[in-house]
Amino acid sequence: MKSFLLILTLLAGLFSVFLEGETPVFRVKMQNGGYFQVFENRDSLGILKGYWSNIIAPVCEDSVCYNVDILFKWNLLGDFVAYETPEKSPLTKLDHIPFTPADNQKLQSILTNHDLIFTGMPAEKLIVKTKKEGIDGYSGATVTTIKEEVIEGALYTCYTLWHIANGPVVDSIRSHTKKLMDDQMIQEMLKMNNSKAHYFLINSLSETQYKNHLPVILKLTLEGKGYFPKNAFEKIPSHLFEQQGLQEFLIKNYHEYSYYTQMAILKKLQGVRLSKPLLLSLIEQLDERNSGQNQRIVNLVIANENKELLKVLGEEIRLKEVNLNSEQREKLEGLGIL
Amino acid sequence: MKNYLSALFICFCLSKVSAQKKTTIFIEAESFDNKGGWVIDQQFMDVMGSSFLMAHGMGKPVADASTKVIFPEAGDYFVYVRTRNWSAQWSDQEAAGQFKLLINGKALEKTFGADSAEWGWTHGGKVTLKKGEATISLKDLTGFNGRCDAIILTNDPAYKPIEDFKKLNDFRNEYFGFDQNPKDAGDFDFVVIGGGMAGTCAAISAARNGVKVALIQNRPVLGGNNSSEVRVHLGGRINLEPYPNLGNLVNEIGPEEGGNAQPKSYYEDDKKLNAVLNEPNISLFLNHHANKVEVNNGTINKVYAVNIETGEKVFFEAPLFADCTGDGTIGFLAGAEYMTGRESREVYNEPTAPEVADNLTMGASVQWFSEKAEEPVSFPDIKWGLPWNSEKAEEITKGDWEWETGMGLDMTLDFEQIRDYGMLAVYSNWSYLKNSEATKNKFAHENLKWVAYVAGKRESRRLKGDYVLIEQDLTEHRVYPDGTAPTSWTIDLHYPDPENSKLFPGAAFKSIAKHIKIYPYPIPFRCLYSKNINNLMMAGRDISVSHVALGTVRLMRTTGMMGEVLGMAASICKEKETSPRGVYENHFASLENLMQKGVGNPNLPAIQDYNLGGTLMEGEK
Repeated sequence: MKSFLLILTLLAGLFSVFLEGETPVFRVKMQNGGYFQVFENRDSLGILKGYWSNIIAPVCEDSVCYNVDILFKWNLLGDFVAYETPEKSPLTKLDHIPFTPADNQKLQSILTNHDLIFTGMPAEKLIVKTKKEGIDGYSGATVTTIKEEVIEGALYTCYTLWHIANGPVVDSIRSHTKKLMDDQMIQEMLKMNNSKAHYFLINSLSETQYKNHLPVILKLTLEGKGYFPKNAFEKIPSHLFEQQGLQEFLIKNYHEYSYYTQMAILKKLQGVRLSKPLLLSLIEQLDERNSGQNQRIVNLVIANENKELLKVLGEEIRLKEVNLNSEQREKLEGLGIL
Repeated sequence: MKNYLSALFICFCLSKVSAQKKTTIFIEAESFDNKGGWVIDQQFMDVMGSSFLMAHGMGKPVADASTKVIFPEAGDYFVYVRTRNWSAQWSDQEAAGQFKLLINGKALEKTFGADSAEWGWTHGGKVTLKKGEATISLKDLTGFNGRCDAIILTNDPAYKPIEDFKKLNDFRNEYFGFDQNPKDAGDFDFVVIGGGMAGTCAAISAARNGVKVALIQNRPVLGGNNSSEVRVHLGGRINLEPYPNLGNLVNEIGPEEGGNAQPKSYYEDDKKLNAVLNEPNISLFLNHHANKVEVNNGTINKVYAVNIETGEKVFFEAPLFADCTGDGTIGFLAGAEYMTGRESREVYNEPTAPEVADNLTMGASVQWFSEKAEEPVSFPDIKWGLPWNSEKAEEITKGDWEWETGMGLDMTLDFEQIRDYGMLAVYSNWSYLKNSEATKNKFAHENLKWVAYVAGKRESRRLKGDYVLIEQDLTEHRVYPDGTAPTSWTIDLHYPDPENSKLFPGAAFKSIAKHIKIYPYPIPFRCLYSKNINNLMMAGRDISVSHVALGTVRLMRTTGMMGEVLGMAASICKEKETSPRGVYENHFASLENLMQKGVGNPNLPAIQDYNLGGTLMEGEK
């Protein structure tokens, strides 16, 4: 508890170095009242590339305290990228022993890792207290399960810096980046070539931006892994599905997507006037097993009220022996198709 | 129930007396009126024949157990106790679990639990008894898991107790009349066997979807590995694509706090129990172990369960069953196809599979922890422990999941040995820490607070479904249209710890984990029902997956979501009068709708932010 309180007290004193001539874009408040200032990092052409902050934070290791003087860098998404320390003021471990190159390498990997156990623990649980023989007080031993994760003798340095690098600053950066989203920023995001950036993109674009950048978004859906294609289609504004270009794209690529992306596309197509070729290509996707996809395709064909297509639908159902449920069958029989 | 048993004792004894003038009284230890500090252990009853009482005192003798018995005749009675010397398989020193039998407060000269390494009858000598009521007590001498299955008192000098456990079971059944009169548990649409996270969620999900359910659990608490008996926290993620509402029920009934081997309250047994008790459509059968199945043409008609305390038998009839036993017990008994051990690479071309198939499974964990006491606490310097020294000593105060053993042994047939070895390792290490010159001062105030006696299993039988999920499905994200609950944990396979294996060749009790990250992956519905038993679904670690794929699906938030899906499928089976395969082939759209809707309370905050695991979500490509 003693160490925990000490950390809280010291974090309250955390601050950024004031830099003449630079204007911070925002300040990040910590829960305990401390703050630091964040600056934009732009290249020579003025293009925003990321963010940085020069932070001075007091850290204590087993009652030995010192001021960490460190420069943090984040990318446009708020991901921590790297840190630098002044040559004359290196990070230190217990008893003011300076970090070795290996320690610095390990800290870098800690600060970019989101799968660590110790970062999710309350500070007071990081150590087990053992009573010191003959001494009025307790000494702390790092909890066994996290020993391998941290730098020996620098537990609270690792803990404090991880929470600064990956704390509220992340959301602040993301909000700031989102506000600045323009064509140039979109290009930067695309250049980042990772799905986190692409997710950020589909969650940030305006309707107009979707319209203007639709081809590139559709290209991303073909390349994206996991549920990115599904989530991207869910984000594309519904009215854009009326576009001939998008419908042609679907005719060509629908079958390439996973079942769940296909389901998301079909959901988006509800209420949209669809071209005859697209409906024909969807009818081809019917399979014999009763499924949500079959239901949605059948509903789309019925909703588009084209007798010729309804006939094709009936033929496909008979040919593939599509297994409809009773409600679908009744509906189609009512329309005279089956 | 106790009265019922007492009545049976008397009836039998009187009839025997009138016919032969011989009286043989059979007493089940687990049916004792007063269990004292002894616990009921049913984990091995399919192998050794019965549940039994065990003195799990973690080094401190537990309070006496006792019961009252009526003797119809005065005279000399020969005493037999069914027990074993569990530590004898590793040590020829004095036995770990010793106890005395007291009759009317007087101990027999014989000490029990100190002879045969195998389960069997130990002759306890002869006692003279008056006609009428007597008190039989078990007095624990060591606090180290002495165990008593049953006691026989007979005035027939020629009487020989039955050693063969199957014949002994026939005898028990005849003696108590259980086989002649199994009780009909009631009318159900769906019978769920196993009350871990999978089974509990399956039962609640079905009940909320209008299905009348029986939930059978062979322990006094729900939760399985997440109960306070095993103390493994939930793991994996819920509320994921493609069905973000799956997991709402897991969120609703799961504990708020995470952590393995933590104090009992962390696991919120009552939260799970109350969730079940609040469902009018569920009939809950705690303390019932299902061990017999009636099958006709690949369809289960009845499942029989025995009460682990009274021995009473109950049967369950229903059109649909779910095997959430973990061990695939119901499927196994019904003749379902199943898999065990590791498949060779050529079976599914899995990169992580071994070249040659073997019987290596992931192990079972015996977790433990100590607490600091104000005053120094002693612990016996055990002689029957594993040979220990400073190199082997683990100077820690908590044994987490990695205190895992039994890899390569049979997780059903050898499980008593596996559990006991896990405990033996804990006791051996702790005895060293508390008594060796090198460590005793450091650990003087540490008090061994909790050691699991219900071991946490990871793997046993996997029942074969219409599809077997394999590694490439997960790593290449080959999703299928019948996807259901998404698994998100890494492919997390455990192996014997190489360092520990060096110190304990062929008998490691610690493990390491190797991980392969995946994207959240919807488990195909075809993995959740048996290939050849028409009306059997499964959720939990016994679903249709390869050994490698088990590495990810076995996490309890995931198995809970499987349960949610089973309950939904059960409601479709009921409504459409179809089988699980019928749901897949003819009504899957209905299941998709239910999965999109979810079954748990969607308005609760997502408070379970522990042990989510590393998964490929957005950040990697």
